[in-house]
Amino acid sequence: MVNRRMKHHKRKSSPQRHRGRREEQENNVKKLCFSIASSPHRPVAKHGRFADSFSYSLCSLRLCGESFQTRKWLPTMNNAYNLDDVAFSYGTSQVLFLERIEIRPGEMVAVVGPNGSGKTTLLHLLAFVEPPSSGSIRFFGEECSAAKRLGFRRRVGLLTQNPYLFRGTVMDNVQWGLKIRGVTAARRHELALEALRSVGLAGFEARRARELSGGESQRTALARILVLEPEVLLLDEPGNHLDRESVQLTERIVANLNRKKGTTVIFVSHRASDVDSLAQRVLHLHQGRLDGNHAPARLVPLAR
Amino acid sequence: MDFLLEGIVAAFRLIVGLDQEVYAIVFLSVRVSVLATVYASLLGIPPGVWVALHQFRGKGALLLCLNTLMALPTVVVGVFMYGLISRRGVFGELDLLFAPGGIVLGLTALIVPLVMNLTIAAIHATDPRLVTTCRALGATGFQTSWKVVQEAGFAVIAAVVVAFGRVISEVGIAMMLGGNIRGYTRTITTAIALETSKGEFALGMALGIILLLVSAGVNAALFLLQRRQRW
Repeated sequence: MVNRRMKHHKRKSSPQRHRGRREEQENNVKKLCFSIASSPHRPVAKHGRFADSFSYSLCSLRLCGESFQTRKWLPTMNNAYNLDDVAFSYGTSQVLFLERIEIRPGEMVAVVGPNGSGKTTLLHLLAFVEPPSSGSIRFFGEECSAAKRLGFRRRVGLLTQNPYLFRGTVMDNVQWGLKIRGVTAARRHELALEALRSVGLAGFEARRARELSGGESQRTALARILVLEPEVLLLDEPGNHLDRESVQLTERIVANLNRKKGTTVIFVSHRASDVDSLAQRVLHLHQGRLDGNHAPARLVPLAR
Repeated sequence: MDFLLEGIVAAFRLIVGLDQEVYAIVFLSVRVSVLATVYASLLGIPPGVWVALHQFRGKGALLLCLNTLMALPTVVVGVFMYGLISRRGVFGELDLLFAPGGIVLGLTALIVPLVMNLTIAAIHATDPRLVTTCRALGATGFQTSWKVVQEAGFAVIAAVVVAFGRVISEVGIAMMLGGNIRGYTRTITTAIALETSKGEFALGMALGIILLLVSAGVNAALFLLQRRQRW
């Protein structure tokens, strides 16, 4: 058996072998790129077996002197969001106008600004719960239209400042998003338990949602979103009504999601410490317009 | 005062004695009222939810129109429906006039605006965060509407119960479209009117007490539902 393999190897000449390996590596990269292009919302680690060989193949191709940039099949990575001339009006009064915002996949962005500057409206637009009055929003390269809004909405999780919990138990609340997506009861239960455990609410399944404290409600709402595994997580002042411990737990969960699953996180916060510790970039809104787009350190005084 | 007391005693005798005629009247009343309430709920709740959850041109005019229709006198509905289902009317061939079907149709027409209007009010009274939450969790328009109805549960049920109360106590339409035919279209209210005018006070009183008991039963059911839906 071993001899036969050796013979087989010997049959191939050295340059042929080298070309074969290079083709294989190139194919691996090509497959991974197409896999990412066809479903860009999935983290790289989830793109199957091609992902494992990605780094190796990339290095090998570079060593082979191949120029990546000249390859036509190589797709460009899409931004999580591209906002162009987006405006939102309540009746005749315009509350938000944003010329251009780009948010990259896996980025952690803080949105700061005084009350009434349009932060919550911006999050609602990014969550696709409200359509803009005018302008264009592209989500992972796809233009948002009425037909695509529901599909986009299902890829985004929005945690509001004071979340609404449905009537019923904590478990009913956490399972609802899965239920409307047609997930089976057994799987729903399993995923909901896992989500509740991740937010420190194990054992709360049978508790009435309306009997929970502020922090527990917030964490139930977070579990209700996490169970859906969103690609983008939008948080509207999540720590506003919470004690220090709950804030730290929420921050830890969000940071873990971003690091481990590559979830894009956009959060509104008034706390300079949140902005400082979590954000890679800060968008400063003032009277519905973008007043700054900087690294956190420069904007911490503004956030304060 | 004696005749009132005698009437009440006679009423209990009729109820306990399982008087066939009384039970036939009660059964017909409950049947036409339940059917009219079911049809009106099917016709009034879905458009009510849609109107409440959407903004469109003319919404204010529609709400004004529905409010006006809520206060519509029953005889006006009776006359209009009579015109539609009489032999010369558009639906004359259906033979609904002086039949239980005619009463159901008239009562349904009477309470559809009521059910729709109260549903709109019930949905408007829900927490404004509810719709945003449903949408943000990825619900379709139908899933959002259904969840909103579930959350507004008690108020929507109350709308249905109010509508049932309106039809079970209605006399004008039942008289005009049913004709108060003994054993066929005689309802509790038309029977009370007839028996009292004939001087049969005991029978009238018995039917009145039964009407009260039916209303009390419906309210008790609502109370139990309210307690269950508290959370």
